[in-house]
Amino acid sequence: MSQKNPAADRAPSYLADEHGLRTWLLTTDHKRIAILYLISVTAFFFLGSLAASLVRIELVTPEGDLLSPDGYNRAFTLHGVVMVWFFLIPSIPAVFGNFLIPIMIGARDMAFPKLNLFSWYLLVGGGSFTLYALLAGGVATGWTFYTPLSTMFSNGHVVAVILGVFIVGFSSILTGLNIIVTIHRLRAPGMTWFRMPLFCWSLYATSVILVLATPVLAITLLLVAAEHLFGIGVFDPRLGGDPLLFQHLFWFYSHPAVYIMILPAMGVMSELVTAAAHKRIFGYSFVAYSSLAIAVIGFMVWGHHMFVAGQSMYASMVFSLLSFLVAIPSAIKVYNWTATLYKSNLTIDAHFLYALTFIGLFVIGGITGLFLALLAADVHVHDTYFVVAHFHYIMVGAAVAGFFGGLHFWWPKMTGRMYSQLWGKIAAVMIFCGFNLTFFPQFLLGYLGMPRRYHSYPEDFQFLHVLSSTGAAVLAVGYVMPFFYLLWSLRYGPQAEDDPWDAAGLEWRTSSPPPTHNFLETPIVDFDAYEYPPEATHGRS
Amino acid sequence: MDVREQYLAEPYQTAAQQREATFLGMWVFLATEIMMFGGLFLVIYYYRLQHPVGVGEAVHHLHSILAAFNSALLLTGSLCMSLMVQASRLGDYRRVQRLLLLTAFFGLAFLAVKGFEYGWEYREGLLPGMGPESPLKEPAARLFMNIYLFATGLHAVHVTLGVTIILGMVVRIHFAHMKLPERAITLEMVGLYWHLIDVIWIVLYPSLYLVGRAV
Amino acid sequence: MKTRKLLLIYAGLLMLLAIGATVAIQFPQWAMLALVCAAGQAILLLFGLAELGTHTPLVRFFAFGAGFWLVLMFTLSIADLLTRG
Repeated sequence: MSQKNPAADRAPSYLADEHGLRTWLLTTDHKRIAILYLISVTAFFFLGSLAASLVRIELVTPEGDLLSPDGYNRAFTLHGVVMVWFFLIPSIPAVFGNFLIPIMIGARDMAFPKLNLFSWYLLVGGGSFTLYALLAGGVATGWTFYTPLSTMFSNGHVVAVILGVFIVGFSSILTGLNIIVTIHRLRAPGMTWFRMPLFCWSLYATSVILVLATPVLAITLLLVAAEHLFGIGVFDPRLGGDPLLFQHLFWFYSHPAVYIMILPAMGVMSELVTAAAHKRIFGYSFVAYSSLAIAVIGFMVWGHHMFVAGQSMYASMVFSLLSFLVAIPSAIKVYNWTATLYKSNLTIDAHFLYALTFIGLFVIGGITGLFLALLAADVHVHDTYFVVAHFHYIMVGAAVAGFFGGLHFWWPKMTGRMYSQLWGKIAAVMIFCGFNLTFFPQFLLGYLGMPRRYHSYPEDFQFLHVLSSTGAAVLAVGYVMPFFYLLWSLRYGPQAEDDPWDAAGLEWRTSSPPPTHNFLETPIVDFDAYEYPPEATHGRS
Repeated sequence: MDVREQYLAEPYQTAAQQREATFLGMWVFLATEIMMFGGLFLVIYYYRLQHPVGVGEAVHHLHSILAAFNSALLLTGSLCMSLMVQASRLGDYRRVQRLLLLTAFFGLAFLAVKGFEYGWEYREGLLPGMGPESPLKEPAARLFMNIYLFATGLHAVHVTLGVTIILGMVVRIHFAHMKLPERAITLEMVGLYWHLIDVIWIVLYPSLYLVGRAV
Repeated sequence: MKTRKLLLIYAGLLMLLAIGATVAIQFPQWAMLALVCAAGQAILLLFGLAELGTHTPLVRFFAFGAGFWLVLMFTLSIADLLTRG
């Protein structure tokens, strides 16, 4: 897009506006807060990966030789807690949502800038709390904190970890609240709902889930903490307490939480696909509404985690049906992305490889999810590596690919520097191969009967476990590479243009990196989302 | 120019926009509070259906009339809050301060009665894990007392927070850190928070003390 | 909002409280009425004292959005409990 914000060239960028650590730690600029989030979630990502490496190394041999059974439980609990609450949930909403939503809708900042900064401090506070607990010995309950294990039998630092998660929950709530109010109240003149990029739609849907589901997790964890600490047992089986009630409460949050992780990545996907195809997305309103549909239906499917836990058969049937329904809006998105790519004028950049990764792996993860929603099939594969592989295809294959794709796509906008495309593509291919090598064998393992959360196993399974661990090593290299070449680009990378990918959207009309207030004059929006000129769309075909 | 525009925060263009955003943000926050207590209400009604006899025994031992008096105290606090909001829009500093103090007084009175009630229950052995031997025979009755203690405790924490915020506002006005009626919206937010605490208690009271005695 | 109206609402709230508590204590089999009274109180308080009616539909939508989600949570969890064999 040749149309630029002329005033932006005269203003200093948000990075150069002020200097010193203090101006960063006390900033209320949404872009700087996004960078703070980026640094912290990257740290948590590496911490969680470290725990995963321990797990994978232990599983190379059938005997439990590296870790004790309890140590193994603590390692996968650390991996789960850190990855779910400290990486996946804040990753895209708090980093890209914070950075991009105000720019995409033509606002100067988020609706409540101070609250925004406060929510980052909550993440760091909750994170250090959890970190302390994990260094002091950790917990062995799994990230699900099931009762009565967590309340009566666990000897780890349950309460400290729970408090950490509780605190970070408030951070998510505040981020969600900020996004909702920003999108409702701060859109620039002319920016109607149907002119917004689809990224904003999916983050809006995510925020609704964040705001309405997280408090239920908060109260559930408080109940567990009260039972563990003071013996005020609400789930105490000796008094007739029902472990299923805990599971209802926990999954009422934690199943929608899966959509908190995947919906933002879907929003990133819509941006990556249109930018690579240089054309308007196929079926804009379908993609937009499917985000809301996922947010609403996603709240009604939690019972499929409890099919073999003693839940009533009739409730299971209802939950099974509803779980099938949630596949419809997800499929709509996938079809629309592929239809957008069809016969388009494609540019294949590193970020587009992540988008392709997302589509392929999300389809596999989604379809195996349908197996699990099937009542009879679930009895066979419940609590096996099949489930582990399924949700890693969604969480890692899709959500983390979305995060990396977004990082590569908006890196020039956030930092003003270009990175090496070659290295970017090598890393993307390595992540794709390493990922499949890690997790595809786990589908087979699970189907053959390898239960999850065991640190030793029969020798028959060793071949597949070794394959999986080898894949994890490849995957680890793929994840570490961007860390180096992106940091390298900060110093040695060439200056980025305002719109290096020839993408449409307000964020590409301001300078790279943007000035402190994004636009010196509030933009007036008289164009649709993804409005590409015909010559861009049909250039080469 | 609207005088309130002097108090515009950075992202906003007009005072009306800021006002609407503030109200929306506050109600979204209150919705999270409703969801949080909603989880607790699910626990209460789930066990009422699962263990009607045990819960009935526990409900019989609760001091429902004392709690009704407590409800009235909280409602009176809410009335004072609304009168305060009305006065703040007129910029009547002294009336605002007096009504804020009155609300805080009713909040503290509620907490005092609640504390007295806990003491009474302690002497009867109703509270979990302490005091003399429990008169409750059914295990589920003791389970319900655990929920009762947790729910009322969490609510009391919210009342305490509310009182603290109110006293903070009194201090702020006293040192002239708040211009009225331009900043009346801050006081309206405090009022909304207080009303929500009240609504939660309104539903909590029959859920804990009244329903289920017949069994 | 007139002071008189506020006082009337306050009187209504106290009356509903009294009715609910009296019925539930005197006639325990009708205790469910206390919940109806509580719902009445909640609505009276939200619209009367918190002035929910004066705000934009959007604000009301979010205020009641939580209620909708609670209905989902209650229906599905309780349905499980009641149909367990």
